[in-house]
Amino acid sequence: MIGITAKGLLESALGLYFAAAIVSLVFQKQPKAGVAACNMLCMVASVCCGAGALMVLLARAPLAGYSGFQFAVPFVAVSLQMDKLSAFFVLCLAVVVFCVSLYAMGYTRRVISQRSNGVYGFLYGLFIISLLWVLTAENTLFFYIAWEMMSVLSFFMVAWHADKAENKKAATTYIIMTHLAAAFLLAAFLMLYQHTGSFSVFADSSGMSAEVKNIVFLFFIVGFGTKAGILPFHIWLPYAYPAAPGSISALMSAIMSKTAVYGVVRFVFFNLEIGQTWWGALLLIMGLLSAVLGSAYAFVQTDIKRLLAYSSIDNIGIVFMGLGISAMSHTAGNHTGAFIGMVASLFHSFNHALFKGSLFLSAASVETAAKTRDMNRLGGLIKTMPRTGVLLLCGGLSVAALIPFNGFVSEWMTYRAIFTAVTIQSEGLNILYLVAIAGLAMTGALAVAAYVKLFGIVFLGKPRSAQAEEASEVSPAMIVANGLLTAMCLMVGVFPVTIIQIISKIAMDLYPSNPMIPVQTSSWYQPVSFTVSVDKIAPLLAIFALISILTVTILLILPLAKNRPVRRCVTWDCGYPKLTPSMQYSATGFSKPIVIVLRMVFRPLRKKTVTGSHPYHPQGIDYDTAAYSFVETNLYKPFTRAVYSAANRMQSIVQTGSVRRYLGYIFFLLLLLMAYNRMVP
Amino acid sequence: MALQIVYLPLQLAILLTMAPLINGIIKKIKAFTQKRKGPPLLQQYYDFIKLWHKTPVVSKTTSAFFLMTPYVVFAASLAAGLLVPAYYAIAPDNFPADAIVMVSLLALGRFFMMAAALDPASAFGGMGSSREAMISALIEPSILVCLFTAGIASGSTDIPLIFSAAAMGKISLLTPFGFVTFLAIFTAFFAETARIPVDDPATHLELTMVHEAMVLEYSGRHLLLMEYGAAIKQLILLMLMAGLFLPFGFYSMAVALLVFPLKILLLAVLVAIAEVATVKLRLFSVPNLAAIAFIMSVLGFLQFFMSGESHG
Repeated sequence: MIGITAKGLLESALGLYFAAAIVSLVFQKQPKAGVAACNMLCMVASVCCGAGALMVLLARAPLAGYSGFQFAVPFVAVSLQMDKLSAFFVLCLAVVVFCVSLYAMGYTRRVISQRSNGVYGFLYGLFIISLLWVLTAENTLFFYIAWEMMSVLSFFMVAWHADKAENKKAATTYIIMTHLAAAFLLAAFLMLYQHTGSFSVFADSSGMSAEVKNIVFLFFIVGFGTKAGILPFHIWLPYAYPAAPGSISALMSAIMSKTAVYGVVRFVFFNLEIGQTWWGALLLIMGLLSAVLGSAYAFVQTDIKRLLAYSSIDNIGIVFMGLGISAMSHTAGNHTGAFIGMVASLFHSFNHALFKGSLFLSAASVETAAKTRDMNRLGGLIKTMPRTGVLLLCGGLSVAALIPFNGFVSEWMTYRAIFTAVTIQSEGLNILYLVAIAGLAMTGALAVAAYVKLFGIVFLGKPRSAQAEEASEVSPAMIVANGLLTAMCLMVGVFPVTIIQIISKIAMDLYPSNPMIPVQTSSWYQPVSFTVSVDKIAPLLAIFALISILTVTILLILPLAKNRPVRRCVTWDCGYPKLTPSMQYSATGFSKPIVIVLRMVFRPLRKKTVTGSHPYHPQGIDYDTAAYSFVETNLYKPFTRAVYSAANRMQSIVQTGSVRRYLGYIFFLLLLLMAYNRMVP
Repeated sequence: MALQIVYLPLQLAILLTMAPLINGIIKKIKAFTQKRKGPPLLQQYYDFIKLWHKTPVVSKTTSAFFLMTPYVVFAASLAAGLLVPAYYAIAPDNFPADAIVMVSLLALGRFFMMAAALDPASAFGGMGSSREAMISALIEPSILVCLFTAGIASGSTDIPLIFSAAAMGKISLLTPFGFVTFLAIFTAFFAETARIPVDDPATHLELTMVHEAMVLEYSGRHLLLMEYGAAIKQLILLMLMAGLFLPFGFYSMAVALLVFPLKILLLAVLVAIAEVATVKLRLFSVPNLAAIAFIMSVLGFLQFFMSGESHG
């Protein structure tokens, strides 16, 4: 090992990503070479930064902060650091970027061929650099700059297909909301500087008063909550994720939302240090609402990527629930609960990156093959796209938190965190934990339903349109990339112990005063016991039982299957012989019972016009149903309407267009400032 | 220790042999109240043997997923059953049988069943699936809150530990919270096993099908596996209720051997009486039933903290 350090690996990764961006621009005229070169450089860079992150995670000491180069602007230093928390998220990023870049090698040429591949690759490389900088920034102003860079670059990506009106709206909503949120972040950083005197991410904030800490906490929640997609700041997400190109949606959902989680953990937990119980309660309630409403809305969508977007809101809600439980336990003095809550939420972020990345890549594959994202027009794709079908099925099983995939283990840990947090002392808070359990159960069941709908309607049954009939399997690069992520989901689901040990070290950094946590790190296959009771981490017994019973059953039935092979016939359907594809359930119809039951949430609109001479002899029925987001209608629309009307009135009163009036404003303001200067020494 | 090696085969034997008997008992009681003789007690066994020998007819529209589902449903139910010990005395030490793992295994079976119903491209399958989605989304919170209450009362979500806490008297039908939690689980039982008042297991009418709609296209050995899986799931829930609320003969193996079938029989009779006493609800009245179950489970949870149990 000739001096391969984590620092060196991180710097070389950054350099390689930049090289990938430049190479993509250089090879603008030869798209094949450009795309391949750019993505391969990205893959190599991911391996580098992943290795660097692993070195930090498995070693004892974190990578100390260091300065890249100093800018002429005072206070802003391009200084990077990688302690265990950053390294964990960088590892997450490395894994996902590797797979997404491999995917993009097959995807980009088929989809971006109308526009410039070169510019796309350039933006892509810079986007990843900004993500890395956000995760490893040591200076809060540099963090802010990287954050803005990330937002602007992803805006360009979301607006890539802005010739469609809906994408234009998506991009506009996105940039406005994320910019507003970033303003809150900047205010919080400046307040931190004002009270701690340093711009470092590790600044010691113990000198701050409680009121200031409260305000800074709220600003951080608004800023990071918007990027993460937590209710009520989530409204941009269901528009922006579908509008972006396939591999970018995967990257945004898998990594960009995690930067927000990283921000909350870094600044609220590590830096500010949970002051009061209501902080944790707020995190828990926001997470719970996002989880339940996110999964409910996911279930009623008919657009594949919008379903996945709402499902992302759901899962990030679960992550925030874990964070909230951890915070509340910490203030209640329950160290075990705090520890398990933090580990559960970080683990769920990691798992979410893996399975959501895989799901968005599958959705992009379906969109490429069938030219549509509307579930009402798809169906029967498993016959023509079996591999993508299997990958989507595995991704769906992961999200629905089913054995043997990784989603189950992290959701199980979240349940255990709630369980550990419910102590006899905190009687008032137990109601909140009760609601949390009920909410988590409901969101689990709704997630199962949503992914049954996604897999069943898109891949099973008969094709509902000509486009679905003509779909064919996508290129091998796309399958292999998707398969890598899915395989990792399965592996982490069956052997979660290594990742949990890594995360435990991070949580131990956070809660060092933990006398009763004997994290026995025996062998890699042995379950880690958190508490002194007999709870185990991995559902190994269940997986073993499942697989062995399956094997034995199949072996027992095999001789019978040879004697009596299956006979193929038409679908029985209680004897009706002429089934057409339109007679199967549509995506809209599948979610109708839930829409009716939860109509207070969905407020469905229904318009039915019957054409024909007589109502009893209809010639045709026109049925239109729509459900809209009540947060958007009741919270944001009035606000935007007020802003617009105020702006209109301002235009007629203040911004009249008369130069003389503007000169008068300048003169008046100068007078005011001179008087202020004179009065205040 | 020697007894613990017997656990696995004994548990498997109980699950596989007793599961079809429950349906027979319930049908006999229903017939008795309707002044009929009803099918023989062992009818379900005869049905299973018949199905074993029949050739399965599978729709051309379906894929390998449809053929895979019966095996997954059966294996998931049986694996979940292994986690709910019938006889605690022979359950191995440090047996990692978490309640949430059990619920998740049953959910795995449900996922496959719901998705495979969409494969034959018939209207019935989608109908069953969408109704099941609605019902399960509304019932899962009640079940999990009840399990959590039981877990908090016993200090762990491990099922053998919960059963031993019940035997020690920490969870008892005589206490308010125990009684209310029992009512909540009992109400949720009908939704999970597709019985009246949520779903009618004896009919194939469009108005009244949820579970039956999902298994409509299966035949032969596939239908056998699906029905067996459903029967085992029913038995698991009965065993759970028996272990939680009727923990007699817990420590001694001899007494337990005698008493366990009686417990299951008693609960099956209760289920049958409840089925006979109610009618099948209109589909959109099922949320009301789910709300009742949820409120009862919440009451059980709150009652546990209000009463002296939590401090005892």
